[in-house]
Amino acid sequence: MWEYKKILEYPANVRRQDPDYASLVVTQFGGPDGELAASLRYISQMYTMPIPEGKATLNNIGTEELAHFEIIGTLVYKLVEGIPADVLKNTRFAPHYAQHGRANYPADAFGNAWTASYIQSHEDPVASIQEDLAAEQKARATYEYLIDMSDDPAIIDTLSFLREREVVHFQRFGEVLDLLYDYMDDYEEWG
Amino acid sequence: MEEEKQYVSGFEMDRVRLAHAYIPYQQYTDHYTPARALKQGTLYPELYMPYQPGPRGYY
Amino acid sequence: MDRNRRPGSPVNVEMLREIMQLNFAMIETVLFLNTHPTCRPVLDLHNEFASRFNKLVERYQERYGPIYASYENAEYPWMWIEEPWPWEIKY
Ligand SMILES: [Fe+2]
Repeated sequence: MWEYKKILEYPANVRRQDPDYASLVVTQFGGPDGELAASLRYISQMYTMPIPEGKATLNNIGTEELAHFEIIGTLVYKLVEGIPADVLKNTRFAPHYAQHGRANYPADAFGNAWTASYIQSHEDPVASIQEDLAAEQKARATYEYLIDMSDDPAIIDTLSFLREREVVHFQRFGEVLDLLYDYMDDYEEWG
Repeated sequence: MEEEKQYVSGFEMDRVRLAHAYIPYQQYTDHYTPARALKQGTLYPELYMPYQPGPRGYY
Repeated sequence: MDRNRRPGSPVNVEMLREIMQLNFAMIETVLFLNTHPTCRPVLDLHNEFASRFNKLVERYQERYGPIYASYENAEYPWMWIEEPWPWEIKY
């Protein structure tokens, strides 16, 4: 089960409000390489992971990704909070406002709703972990595109934190992959 | 603490096989203070690889 | 209860920041230990961070309201619901 801590993993601020940027960064809330996809991918895969290190890694990284989902949600919320409709209507955020108001909704930067088709879960542990390694790289690259398009130091600061987490997660999944090779070698020997 | 690229020694090349992906195992060396760790996104200096925009992209 | 009488909970952003720092240091020791379960130095580091985190959270909860809904010394009225929530704070 999960228990909420009434804190953010990272103190996420925005220096100034920017509805246009909200409609871009939202892709890490509900897009193909976003944090919701990351979390649900890992906590779906953990059940059949054959080695304890792998189960723990998927569980803890899946949990951390949900905290990242909250950080991105915080950025989107702060970027548009209280901005009147007649201002929003002239921004990229207008279609979002038409369907959701200023509420957060897991969609990508084009407005496509989140879908489980973004993720895969295989009983074959090597196939799953390689999907996870790829997911971490795609998320890292996405954060770099988003950093390239921002001139708000507070946003760049938070996105840089999240980007670095993808580097660390990649390392941990790489270590699990190594342990899986050992596990499968032993399995071959002992049957 | 130095911030240049970290290369890993002792990677066991005799264990590698074709058509397998390998990431070297991290060896613990040192850690940042919690304050600096949160700022940089990792507790471990050898994993701190910040984004350096440039022609090659990434880091 | 009258909405306007809601106390709201005071926040101490400096203390929260310290809690976030220790919380994060622990996230990092946990992930490392998951793939290095026999690494003594990081295990010791984890225990040190955990003990500092727990003490700090306890002090925070006594003064500023719960970080965990399971906080055992909950005061009347129920403070868990009090704003600001984490996404409403300017850090
Ligand atoms: Fe990640």
